Amino acid sequence: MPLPFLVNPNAPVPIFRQIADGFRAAIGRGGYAAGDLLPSVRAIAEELGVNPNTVHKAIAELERDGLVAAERGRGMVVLAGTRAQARASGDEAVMQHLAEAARLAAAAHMDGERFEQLARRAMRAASTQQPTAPRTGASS
Amino acid sequence: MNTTEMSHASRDSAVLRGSDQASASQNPGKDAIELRCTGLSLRFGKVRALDGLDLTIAPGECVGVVGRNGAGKSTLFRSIIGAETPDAGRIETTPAMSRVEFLARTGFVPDTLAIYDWMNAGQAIDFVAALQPRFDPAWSAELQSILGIVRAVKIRDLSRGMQARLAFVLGLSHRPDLVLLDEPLLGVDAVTHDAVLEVLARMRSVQGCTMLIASHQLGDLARLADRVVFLDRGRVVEQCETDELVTGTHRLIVHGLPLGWRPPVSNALILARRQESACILTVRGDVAPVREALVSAHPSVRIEEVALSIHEACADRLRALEDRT
Repeated sequence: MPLPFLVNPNAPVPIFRQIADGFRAAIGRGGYAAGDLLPSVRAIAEELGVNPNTVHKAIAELERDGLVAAERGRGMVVLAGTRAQARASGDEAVMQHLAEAARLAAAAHMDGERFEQLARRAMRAASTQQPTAPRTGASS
Repeated sequence: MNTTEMSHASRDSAVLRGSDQASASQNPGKDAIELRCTGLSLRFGKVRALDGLDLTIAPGECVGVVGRNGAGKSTLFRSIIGAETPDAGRIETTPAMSRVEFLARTGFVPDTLAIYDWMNAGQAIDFVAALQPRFDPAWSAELQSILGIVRAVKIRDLSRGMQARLAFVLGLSHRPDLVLLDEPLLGVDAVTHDAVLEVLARMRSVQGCTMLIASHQLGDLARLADRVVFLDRGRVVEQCETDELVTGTHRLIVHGLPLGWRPPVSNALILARRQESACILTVRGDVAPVREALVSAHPSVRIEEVALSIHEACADRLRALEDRT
C-alpha cells in the first residue's frame, strides 16, 4: 500500500517527525485500523527515499506512544483503541500551538471572542487547502 | 540584498560541537566499515587543502559533508580513495585491511565521470567489472535498469545527467561496504533523483553500508545523513546530528534594539546581521536564554522567532564561516 503522506526535506521539521506525524494522522482518521501492519522500515525508507535510521526513529516514537507494537514475525502492528489516542496526541499538538497563539493574543490585549474568531478563520483557511500535503519547498 | 554584515559571533570560541565519537548507527551491516581520518593535512603550493582534518564515521553511519567551494571536500574524498597522498595524518578502518581490499570494498561516485570517453556506457561497465573483484552482475543489471542506462551511447555523447547515472552504476555495482558520494546528483532529473534516493535507501537497509556524502543539495542530506559535518579550509569546524540541526537552529528577528548594538560573544550565536531596522540572529540550541537576555537588557525589544529548515540552518553557518575570513 502506498504511504498516505509525503515528507518534505526542506521543511523546518525533522523528517523522522514528519513520518511519525504522517502515520499518527493516518491512524487517527482510520487509514490504518487496529491489527493493520505498517510497511517495513525498508519499504518506507525506499518509498520516501530517506535514511532507514530516520524511519526507525519515527517508528520507535509511535511504539513509545503506544500506537503500534512489534509482533513477532509480522512487523509493526497498529494496536486496538489507538484511533482515539492518535486523535488525542493530535489534540496535544494543536494545544501546543494554541498556547503559543494565546500568549501572542494576551500580549496584544485581545479578548476571548476575537481569539475564537481568528481560530475559526484559520480553520476555514486550512480546510480550503485540504488535503494537507507538506509544502513542496523549493530546494537549494 | 538589503543585508549588511554587522558582526560575527564567536570569532575564536570553540565551534566544534557534538561528540567527537561518531554516533552508533542503529543497523550497521555485518560487513560495514568504520572509517577514521586523523589529522589529515595536504598542501598544494601555498593552499592548505586539508589542514588537520579529523573525522570518524561509525559502521553503518551516513555522514553528510557541507562546505563552501574549496573547503576541501573533494580533496578529502580523493585522499580516502588514495588518489592524493596527504602530507600528514592517517586514514584507518575497522576492520583493518590492505589497500587492495579497501578499494574492493569501497564505492566512489565522483562529481565528474573519469573514464575513457571513447567507450560507450556498456563498455565502461564491462571494463570496471573486469577490474573489480567483487562486481555483482545481477545487482549491476538491476542498477542499470533502475537508472535507465543505455549501453550503446558513447560517454562523450552523454548528457550531464546521464553521466551522473552511469557514475552510480560504475561506483556501486560491487555492493560496496563503504560508499563515498561526491556531489553525486548534479544535473539529474527529478525522476532519476528519486530513483537514486531509492537505491541508496535500499543499500542502507539491506547492507547497512557506511556512507559519506558531500552535497550542496541540503534537502538530500536531510533525507540521507545521520550527521552533518561542516568543513572549512580543510578542517571540520562543527558537527551536528541532522535532526538536531533542524530542531536546534532558529532565527530571532529583533526589533527595537538601540543603534550600534553589538551582539554578545556567545557560542549560541551562529550569525548576526542587520536588515533595515531589525537585527536577525541565528541561534543554535535553546533560544529561551537568548530571548531572556535580550529582553532583560532591552525591555522594549520585540522578538519574532522563525524555525529553520536544514537549508537555512546550514547556509547561515556557512555565512558565519565566510565572515570570519
